[in-house]
Order: sequence, then C-alpha cells, then structure tokens
Amino acid sequence: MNRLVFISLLVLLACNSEKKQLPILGERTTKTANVNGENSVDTIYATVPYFSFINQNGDSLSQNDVNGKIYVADFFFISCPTICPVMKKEMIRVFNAFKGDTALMLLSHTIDPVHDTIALLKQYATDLGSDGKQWQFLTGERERIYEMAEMGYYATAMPDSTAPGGFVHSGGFILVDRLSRVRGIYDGTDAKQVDQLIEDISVLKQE
Amino acid sequence: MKHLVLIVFFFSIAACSDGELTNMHRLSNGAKLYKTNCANCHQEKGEGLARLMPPVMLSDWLLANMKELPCLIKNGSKQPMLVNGVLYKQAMPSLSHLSDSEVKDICVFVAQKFGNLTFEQANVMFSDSLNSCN
Repeated sequence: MNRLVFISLLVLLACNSEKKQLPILGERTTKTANVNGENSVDTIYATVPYFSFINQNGDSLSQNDVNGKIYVADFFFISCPTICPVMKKEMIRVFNAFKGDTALMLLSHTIDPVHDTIALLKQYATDLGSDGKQWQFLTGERERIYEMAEMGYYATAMPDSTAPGGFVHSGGFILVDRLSRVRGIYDGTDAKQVDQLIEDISVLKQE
Repeated sequence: MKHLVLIVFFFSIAACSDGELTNMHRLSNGAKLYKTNCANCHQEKGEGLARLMPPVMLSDWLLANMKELPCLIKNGSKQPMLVNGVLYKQAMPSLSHLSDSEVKDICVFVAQKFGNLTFEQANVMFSDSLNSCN
C-alpha cells in the first residue's frame, strides 16, 4: 500500500514538473463559506479593476472586450525619447510571435493623452505594423490611465517635468490571464525578459 | 610570456601617434554617445524601428545629406523625412544637452560607420558644421 502511495506521489510530481505554473500576483484574501454544515475556504485573487478606454480608431475598449482573453499591457507616450522605442521594438516581437492568435491581445496605453490624440495613435499603430485589432493603442482620461497603471498593473506612470519628454513610467510588460489576474511583469526593455514573456504566454495558453 | 605581451602592447601603443590615439578615443566616444543618445530609436545596428524611426544604416537620406547631421542632432526636426522611400513622421528630438564636441563625435562615428567615410574625411566634413546651425 505504502509503495502505491509512493508511486502515485512520484507520478504526481512528474506531472507537475512537466507543466509550469505561473504565479498569481497581487494580494489575496480568503472567503469562508458554510456549505452543508461544513466550512469551505476559497482564495480570492486580485484582479485588474474594470476599465474602459478609447482605442486608436476612436472606439471604446473595455474590460468586457478582453474577458476570456490573455493580454499584455504596457504604458508609453509617442514623443518619448528614452525607453519607449526600445519597448515597442520588443512588443513587435511579442506581436509577431502570436500574430493572428485571437486568444491574445496587446494593449498599449498612452500616458500623455493630451498630446497623443486618437489620430496620432492611429498613425503610430500603423507605422509600428500593428493590425489595430490584436494590438490596440488606448487613451482616456489621464487620471484613469495613471490609476490603472498603479492599481491594476503595479506600474508607474506620471508627469515629471525633470524627466526627458516630461513623463516617467516603468517599462514593464504586464501579463494578464483570462480571469483578469496579473500573472507576470517583465522588463520591456530587456530582450531576455521578453523572451521569457513569450514563453510564459504559451504556458498560460495551456491553462 | 606575460612580459613579452606587455612589451608588444607597449610598442604598439607607442607606434600610434598622438593624433591617431585621439582619433581612436573620439571614435569610441562617438560610439558610446550614439549608444546612449541615438540607439533607443535608430537601434544599435542603425536599422531603425519599423516605419516609425528611420534607419541610419544604408540610409539614402544620410548619404545625400550628411552635412546636415550636426544641426539635425543639435536642433531636432519636426519635418517628415523621406528615407529609402518611406515617409517618417515622428519628430526627432533636439539633443541640446550635448556639447558641440559631443555632437561632432557622434557625427564622425555615424559617418564612418554608416556613411562610408573615413575618419579623416568625416573629421573634415564636420570641422565647422555646427557653426551654421540656427
């Protein structure tokens, strides 16, 4: 009997090691429910709060449109002289790796909505080679965008007159799963970390 | 063996004239400055970024307008630029934080790396080109 348990454990371990699991980021809480006289404890994971922005075509894009999809979010501004072009070069790689895959979306948020008009975003998207559907460029009320960056994606985005271009923001690519849970944050200026992101998207697609 | 290497190294350094050493220093300084100030957009190998940022490698604009490079770097430009048949519309930021000699080092580096000029030719071309910038 003991031997059987041992072998089952081995098989279980072997299965686990084959399938890589991505962590679920953010605070978690537990909820105790009384089901048929027995206490059951559920873990509630942090999710990205509801959002609704406008895309490069002037159409609204809300969380409802990404429900059930995996997506990668990032923050940039068009006139950014520093890390944005590097991030966009890396995002092109992610886009090309999953081109046409309807299970995955890329959402690039401008943090300079005053300058980055819908028309400019459209031009920017086209020039980068985006199809405008799978990879969308979002704008909206500035405060809402900054809030999303910080509360939803654990990223930084704010105006800073001392920074080149007038804004500071983190260069993170944030990987979000089908249930709106953040599953990884990668440095979008580092090709090795973006390789990891591409690998992790494939892992997430298996879930 | 170590000593021999050191001696050979010493003689090879000594064989360079002061001028050659300065040139080498300026080229490597230009390469370093290119990496920090230009490569984010134009990329380290100069291939540019999609249809967003123009290439400096194999760029017909660069070959035809090399002399304008210092002022372009110094002042930036908001004019669309036609490079290899593609119209690039992003503004080029002004790199006004660079000193004249730093701008010149970048130009000399770019000209010899991507513009088929020798160091001497580039040096002559950019010797007083910043004076004409507005």
